[in-house]
Amino acid sequence: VTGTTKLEQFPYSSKTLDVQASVAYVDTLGDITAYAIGGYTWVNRNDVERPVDTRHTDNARGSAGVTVGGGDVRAEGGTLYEYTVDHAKRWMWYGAVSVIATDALVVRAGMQFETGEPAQRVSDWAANAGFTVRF
Amino acid sequence: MRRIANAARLIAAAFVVVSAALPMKAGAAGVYENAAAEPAFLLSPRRPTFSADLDFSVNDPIEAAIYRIGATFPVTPPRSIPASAISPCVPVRAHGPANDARSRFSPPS
Repeated sequence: VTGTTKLEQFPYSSKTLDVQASVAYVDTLGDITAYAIGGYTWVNRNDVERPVDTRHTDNARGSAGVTVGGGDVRAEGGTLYEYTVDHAKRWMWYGAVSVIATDALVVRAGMQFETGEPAQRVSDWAANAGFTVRF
Repeated sequence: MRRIANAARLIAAAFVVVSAALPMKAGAAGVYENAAAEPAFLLSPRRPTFSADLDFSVNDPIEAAIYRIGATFPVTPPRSIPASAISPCVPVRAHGPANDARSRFSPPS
């Protein structure tokens, strides 16, 4: 379930079909995880009235990242690049830290920045915090 | 009077031209992506999980909060290791001549 205080800004339902291929490496101890993903997203609700930079259209994307850490603390970092059929580009970077507070509870916090063309950014930066309960 | 009307038309036309030339901020229409969520489905979880996230996004002058609530389940239940796969356990004495490094490497008396 996903929601927002600015529905206009985040039309999640316009992501219709996403196909991706991924490759990952996990070391024996689980201290390092590296991944790379390539994918293509087909969208609906393509509003042609909007400027090219801000139009949500079919796009190809590539991403890569790594998680490093042993014990109860892990650090994550990665990047995501999108290229739309209208030749708009988006490029974002993220970093996060996860802490295994207890066997059942994992808490995390992170930051994300977009470094692509300013006019094509959806979010200049974003802060994230969350938790996971493992049963 | 005509001068004023012409000036007003000129200002209106300039406003339209500038508005069309200036790109609209993507934040007004784009789709927010959480790059950290990309590898979310890369590995099947070993245990059922419940997670909640809150993002605070800024694309000046637009600010927004996004929440996510989700759950994951293992595709297959955790496998138990069959007894035959475990190598036989050989009892080792903690102390004694055979396992005492000092006795093994000490020069013969």
